[in-house]
Amino acid sequence: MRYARRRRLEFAALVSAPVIWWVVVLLVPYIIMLMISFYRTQFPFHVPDFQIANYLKIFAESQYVTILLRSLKISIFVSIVTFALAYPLTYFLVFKVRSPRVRTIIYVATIVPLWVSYLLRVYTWKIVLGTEGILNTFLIWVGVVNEPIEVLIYNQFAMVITMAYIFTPFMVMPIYATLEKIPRSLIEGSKDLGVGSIGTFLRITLPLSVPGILVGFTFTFCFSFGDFISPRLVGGPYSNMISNVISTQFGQAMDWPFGSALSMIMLFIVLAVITASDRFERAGRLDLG
Amino acid sequence: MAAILEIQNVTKTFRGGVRAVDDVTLAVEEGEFLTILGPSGCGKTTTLRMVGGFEYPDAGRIVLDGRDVTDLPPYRRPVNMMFQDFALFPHLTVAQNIGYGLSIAGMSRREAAREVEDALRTIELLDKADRRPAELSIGQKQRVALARALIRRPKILLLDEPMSALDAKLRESMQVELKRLHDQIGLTFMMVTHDQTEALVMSDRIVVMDVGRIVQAGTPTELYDRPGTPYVANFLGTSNMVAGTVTEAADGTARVSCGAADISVALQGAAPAVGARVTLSIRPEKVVLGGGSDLPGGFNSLSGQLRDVFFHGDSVRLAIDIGAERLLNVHRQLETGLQQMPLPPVGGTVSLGFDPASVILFTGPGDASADDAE
Repeated sequence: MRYARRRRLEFAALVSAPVIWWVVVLLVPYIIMLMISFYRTQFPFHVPDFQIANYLKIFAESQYVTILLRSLKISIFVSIVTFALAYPLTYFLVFKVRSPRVRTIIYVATIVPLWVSYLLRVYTWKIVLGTEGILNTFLIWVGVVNEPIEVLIYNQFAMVITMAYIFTPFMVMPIYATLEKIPRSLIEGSKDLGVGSIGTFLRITLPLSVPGILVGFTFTFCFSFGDFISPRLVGGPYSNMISNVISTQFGQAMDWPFGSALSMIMLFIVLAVITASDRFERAGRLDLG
Repeated sequence: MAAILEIQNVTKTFRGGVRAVDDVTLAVEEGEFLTILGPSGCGKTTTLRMVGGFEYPDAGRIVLDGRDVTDLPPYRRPVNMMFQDFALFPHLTVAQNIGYGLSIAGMSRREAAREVEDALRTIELLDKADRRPAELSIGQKQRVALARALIRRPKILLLDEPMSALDAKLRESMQVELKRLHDQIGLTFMMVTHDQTEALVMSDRIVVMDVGRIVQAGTPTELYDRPGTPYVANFLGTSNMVAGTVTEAADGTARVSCGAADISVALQGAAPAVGARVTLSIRPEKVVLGGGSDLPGGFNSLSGQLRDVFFHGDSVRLAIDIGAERLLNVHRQLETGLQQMPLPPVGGTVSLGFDPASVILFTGPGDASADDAE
């Protein structure tokens, strides 16, 4: 009996710190935010209330719908571009690079930018794409153009490129993990049964890597959906994303209730994406043993 | 009989300079059940994989049914392989797994469906058609793998350690089943295994490999009764390896002095020189207990000291010291109980004998201490 009680105490001591942490820095803020989203604004203050005008405002005013749709569009583009870059790279790494050392070096080189400050990495693209930037200087030097091209930066294209670069590791890691787990005998088995390399890829390798692709898509989608640095640094005038609007509400606009309502909508969309991808992943989860 | 497969002077060296297959030449007859037997790393799997097209030889040719397939990828070779781990596609159903290769073969959908149904009926898994491989037992998985490999009617069925995933009981029944299937459909089977029992039970012909080379090829009885080297004698079944010196050699028989014992040997090949150091291989089950008039005429008659008795249930294995550090293992099937067997206590003296014709003589001191390869 005493032993059991001691075990319970030990267990409580062990988990209390993370639980307290989680409640204080995650659960409580979410609840506060949910509460504030129903408050009323009397500039520059917000007063407690329970009404849904903040939510109605999001869908009533077309500019917010436009920004929401733009955020969705940009995030989907980023996910697709990231996937298009990451999948061939990862496939090459797992199946074509024979030497484990070379494979590790390339893999680490892909992942290592994560250790560099996010802001710095966005700035790098400013340096690459800017009017006086590396790319323009190079193009002028080669003679392809006479004057700097201005379409490279301060638009949605620049945002997608920048975010695709930044989130590539999050696509590479889960795909790498699934591809690496596919037994080589399955690929050999497919070829043995008369199916060529492309057919084998489409019928065996690709379907079996879907779980990793889903995780990668979820990561990149959610990250870019919540991003507000790239729009600001390389996005230009028509690239405000939902996060930019939210940060304005909590800043200059001093409209916390509306900002909270926007945040709740954003949270809802992200949770919906995560839930859906989790469902798909579970449905397709297979025993590769 | 015509050779359906010819492996001609094939060599394969892997990165790091490991020569897995070293100048192997082998012809496989149409319809035979050929087994490549050897320990892991002997090159047997690499040889099979080169026939399947999963490895390409550095030198030599592979000719299949009169056509050079050396440089063809696996999907252009009319052979199919049953993989060691069965390689069933986890995201496809049993029926889709079996029919996987048919869609490519230019068969109509309906025809393919009928073929798959027939195959499912044959392996008695019709009710599991829509299950995923993960839901099958290991024996069922193997049947699916087999059906999938056979449905394209390959010229040769390649089997890569087909029983290694099975437990002992299932293994035995699958050996019988595979052998029966082979006799039924008359297809050429080429199997790779490290299990000598499996090779002996199933094969028409066994090829023993060691360090990338073929050591000996022949029928199971040839290899068992007339092993060409001590390696083969030890790999197929067990052998007592007894070192000795030749004292007489004439008229197809030799006498070999092995410490305290003198053993006569019926020679198969050329007579060894008198005074030469040789190794004798004596199968444990060829030795009979008893002496003098109990033994048939011409038998070697020895006596020794009983060292150990190992009871195996259906049989017993005795370790008998015949002097000068030479231990003979003797195998006896137990028709009655062990108690009924007239045995002296451990440490007592026993008489034993064996036919000179059952003794194999290898010239050279050999590796008398060589362990039983698994």
